[in-house]
Amino acid sequence: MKNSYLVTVYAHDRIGLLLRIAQLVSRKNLSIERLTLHESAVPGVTWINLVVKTDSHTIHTLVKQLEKQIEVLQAFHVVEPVRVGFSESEQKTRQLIS
Amino acid sequence: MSDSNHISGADAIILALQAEGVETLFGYPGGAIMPLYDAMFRFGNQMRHVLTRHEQGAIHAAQGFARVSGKTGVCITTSGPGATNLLTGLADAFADSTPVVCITGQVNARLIGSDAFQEADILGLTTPVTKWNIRITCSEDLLQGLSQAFYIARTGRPGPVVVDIAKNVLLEKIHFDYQICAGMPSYHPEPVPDDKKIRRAADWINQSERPILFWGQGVLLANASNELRLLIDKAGLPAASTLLGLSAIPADHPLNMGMLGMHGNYAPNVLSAKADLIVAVGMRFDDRVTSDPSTFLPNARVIHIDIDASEHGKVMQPHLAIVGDAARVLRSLLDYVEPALHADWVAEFRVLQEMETDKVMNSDLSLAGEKIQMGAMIRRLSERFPSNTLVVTDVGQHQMKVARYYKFNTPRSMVTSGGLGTMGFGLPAAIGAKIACPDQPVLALIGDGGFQMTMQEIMTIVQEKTDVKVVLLNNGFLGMVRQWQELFFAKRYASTELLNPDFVKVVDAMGLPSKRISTSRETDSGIDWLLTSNGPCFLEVVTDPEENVFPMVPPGVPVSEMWLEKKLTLIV
Repeated sequence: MKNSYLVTVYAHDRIGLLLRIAQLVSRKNLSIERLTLHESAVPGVTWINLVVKTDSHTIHTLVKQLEKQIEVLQAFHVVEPVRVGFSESEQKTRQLIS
Repeated sequence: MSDSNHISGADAIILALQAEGVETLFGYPGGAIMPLYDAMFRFGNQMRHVLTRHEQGAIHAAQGFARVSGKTGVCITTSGPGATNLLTGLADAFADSTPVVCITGQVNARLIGSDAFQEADILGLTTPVTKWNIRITCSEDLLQGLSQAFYIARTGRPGPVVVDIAKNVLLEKIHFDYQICAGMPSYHPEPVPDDKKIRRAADWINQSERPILFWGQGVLLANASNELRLLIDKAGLPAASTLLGLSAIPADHPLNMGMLGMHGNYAPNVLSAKADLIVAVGMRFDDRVTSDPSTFLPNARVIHIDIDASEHGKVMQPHLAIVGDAARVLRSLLDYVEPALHADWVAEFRVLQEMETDKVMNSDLSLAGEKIQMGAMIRRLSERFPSNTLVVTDVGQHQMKVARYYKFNTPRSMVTSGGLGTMGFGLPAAIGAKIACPDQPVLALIGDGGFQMTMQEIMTIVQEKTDVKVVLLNNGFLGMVRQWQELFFAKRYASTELLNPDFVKVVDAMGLPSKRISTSRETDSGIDWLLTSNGPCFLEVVTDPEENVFPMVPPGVPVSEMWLEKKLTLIV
């Protein structure tokens, strides 16, 4: 059964980090539904959130492979809660493009 | 700080390589990497640089070097095409967990991203096929980048690393304070195995009536051959190897039941379905081993021991997963297991071994016919070459015949491209193997298809005076593909027949003594010639063109239903 999973990764920031993370997702033949990156509370450590739709076996193997990357400090996942409605900013965007 | 304390980036790389204990480099010069080659020259060529004829040859040679010695292979190329030519070798080293550090030149930092001459995005291109990669654009980052590269390549589950260095870094002056990397905060290459799990594994082994131990290259990478042998002897475990695990246990060891997988041995494949316990050590359940994973090991509990936690549950969900170095886990297991024999179970293997001997090996190994059988030639080489010979293969039918019929006795004596199955790997890898172990004979066994992918490296053998005995097994076909066409595509031989050159003339023109044999009765005289030739030489063996590799697990068929001979099948 497919679910939307929210994957969180903490990693040392470096040129090519996002590429390495994204490439692992595409190797699993998954597309990234949402992706955000910020600097975390610890300087030099990036906090990445991404959402992918897949089954529980694939998400487990993906997270283990993410965790194995040299820069990655920690990677984990949760089933993403179903969102009801749109946020204020999304409503604004919808108005702009309609 | 005065300038006298400072040296150029290129000089610093040479000193760093020396600090890492590097004595041999495999490479090919070009524009962006020229300052490094100049430094090599000015240092009086203290390190040996092996000039291959193609960058692919350089990285395969570095892989061969690493595989037989356990040291990190080092490869140097220029930017753009020099670096892109490494991709196949990087993917191969990544699939087969080979420690290789590749230093690639890059255009000047101010030109990066401008489509400059010989610029390619090497960081982007190599990301999916490297354990780690880094682009260095300013000289302050150079030394730390290099030391981390060597540390990452050799520790944990080894793998290839690329260090892409912009040309300005090679020319800028830096203060040399190189320190060998001893650890990184986000990288834990030596996981501590869980003792409770090891005790439970030992309990399961002690309770088991029909156990089999599967081992892979992890045992060789951890130098755990002794521990493995002690364990299977004490617990009476019949054991079988993956293609890359071959040579960890001597072929004639009574509990070594041979190779797993598509063209492996009959007994371990068939009996894997009957086993009640599988102890898998340093192997990753490749699809060539499992066939369809849903039909694999229907009756067994599976204990999976691997240093790479991401391998647990990737293909097979183990009942017990132990993360750790094979040597360490096997040593602990050895203390907890009780002595056992499993005589009835071992006897079942013997019955199937006899069936395989009857139906396959007797004809495969026969020298009675006119045409030379690949298997017979390989077994004869195995009988006559010294037991410390390093055997390097290419990919295809001959590779499977070597895996089946060459009797490996010493760890790391077999080098082959397993995970990626790279044709053209054999010849350059043999050069690297010989350079790593100059005192051991090196035998390169190569098919006519793969040979023509990297045959220019014969010139590297000649220039470097590398004593490799090259045996070309020529059946005039891309044999493995032809076999599949015969079995599954109604003999429609689409693009598998090769019009070959006169190999003996070609190699002779390159300056290597060469000879051809084409009948079974010449087998021994051919081998005599190889054994008595001083220095490198080339023997072409013309073999039966339509020989097949059996037994075989056809695609989608459970391994327990392996074929011993050709069967009529539905045509695809």
